[in-house]
Amino acid sequence: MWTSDQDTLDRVLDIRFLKKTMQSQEFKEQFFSQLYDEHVDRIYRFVFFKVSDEQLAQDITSETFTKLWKEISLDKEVRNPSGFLFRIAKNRIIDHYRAKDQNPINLDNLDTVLDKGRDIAEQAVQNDDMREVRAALSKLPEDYALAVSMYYIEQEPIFEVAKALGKSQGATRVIIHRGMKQLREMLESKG
Amino acid sequence: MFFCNKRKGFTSALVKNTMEEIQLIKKLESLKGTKPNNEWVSLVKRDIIGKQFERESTVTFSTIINAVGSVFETPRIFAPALATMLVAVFGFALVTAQNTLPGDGLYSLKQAYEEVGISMMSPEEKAIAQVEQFDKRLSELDKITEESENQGKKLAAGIVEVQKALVVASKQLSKLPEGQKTELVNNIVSKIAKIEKTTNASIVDSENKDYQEFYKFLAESEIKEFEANAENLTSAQLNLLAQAKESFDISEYIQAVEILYQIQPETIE
Repeated sequence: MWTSDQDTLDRVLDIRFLKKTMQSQEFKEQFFSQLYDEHVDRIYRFVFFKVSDEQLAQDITSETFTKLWKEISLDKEVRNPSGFLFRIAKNRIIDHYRAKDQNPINLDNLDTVLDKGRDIAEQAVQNDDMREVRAALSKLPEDYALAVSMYYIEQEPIFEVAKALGKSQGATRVIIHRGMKQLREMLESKG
Repeated sequence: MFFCNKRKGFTSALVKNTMEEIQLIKKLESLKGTKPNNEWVSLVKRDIIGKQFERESTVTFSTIINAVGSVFETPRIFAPALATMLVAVFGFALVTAQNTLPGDGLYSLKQAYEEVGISMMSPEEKAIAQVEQFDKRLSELDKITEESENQGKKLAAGIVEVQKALVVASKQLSKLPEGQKTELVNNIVSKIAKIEKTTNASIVDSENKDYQEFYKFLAESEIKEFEANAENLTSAQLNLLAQAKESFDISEYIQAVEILYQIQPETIE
């Protein structure tokens, strides 16, 4: 089907308008804000369970979103924001330990972020239980921790986890399986 | 009967494992209750949106060439004088450029001069020269750490140059002579580790897959070496070796090298 010249012109103008809108500061801020609200809790959780330090988790989360903002503000395409953010966070964690040569486990800080509305006794029992799971999670290699966190804690579908890891879905399943196996073994050796 | 008991035992172990897994999954799911502080969340969002980034723009050799091209559009009568003047200025700039560091004005001229030299070499010589060039970039970075003037700006530029040279060197790895490969790679990796310690910056970007070949080669040779000395390793070190091999199998070479570095030679029994 042939379109008239006017139709073609309208479409070109529409695309130009869309492009202009997408490049506007207001659009970028709104887009970032939406992505931030959607992902900040998940990224923070992933980082916190890995580093077991509230301040450090905040710093790494902030750096991760700064990198996203940089991409958006420089008009770079972010195809899969969730995978992008988890991947950046994972790499920042690796970079942090490489630069500082620190021990990733800090058990004293494990209880710093808790559900504050719970009954104290119930919270104490749950804390003990959760403490062990979180300690084990923080000891997992970065890829295993990322895969287990995304799949079981954040309940992301396999293809999202695969994108964040940059692996095939088959390899991702293997990583999740190995991660869970290591977690179970660590918890068994404690119990 | 024996098989029947064995099967029963297997089934109960399987049920136990499944139950444990289900409990573990439930515990993991309940971790979702952990959330960052609300005030911090909104504060950081405002702070990030307030940041502005500029597109990188650098003066390259080609831009100099373009500028010279436009100069030659001047009347022919001035051409000989202009050419002589250009040769003199360019020659002086080239000599001066040899002592520059990343972040300095004439640094791109020094690089362009090096590129011209390398382009005239044979493939094997080129591979060695590009690995040596990476070595030079590391030495420049080392010099920057000793300087006090403009250190921040130069340090950032120096790290970028080192990263770029590492990508180039990594691509030349397969062309290096077999006898020199291990020595050159080990030398480079130990220098990176040293400079990362001095600058407190991470040279190796884990996201960059371009220098995977480098780390693949290093991880492979380290794993082989540890396997040959496996009887001297403690159980914890053997565990680390197994983890490194797992990372290697899933193509996570940088991670494999990091794990291998945790097997300190001085602690091997």
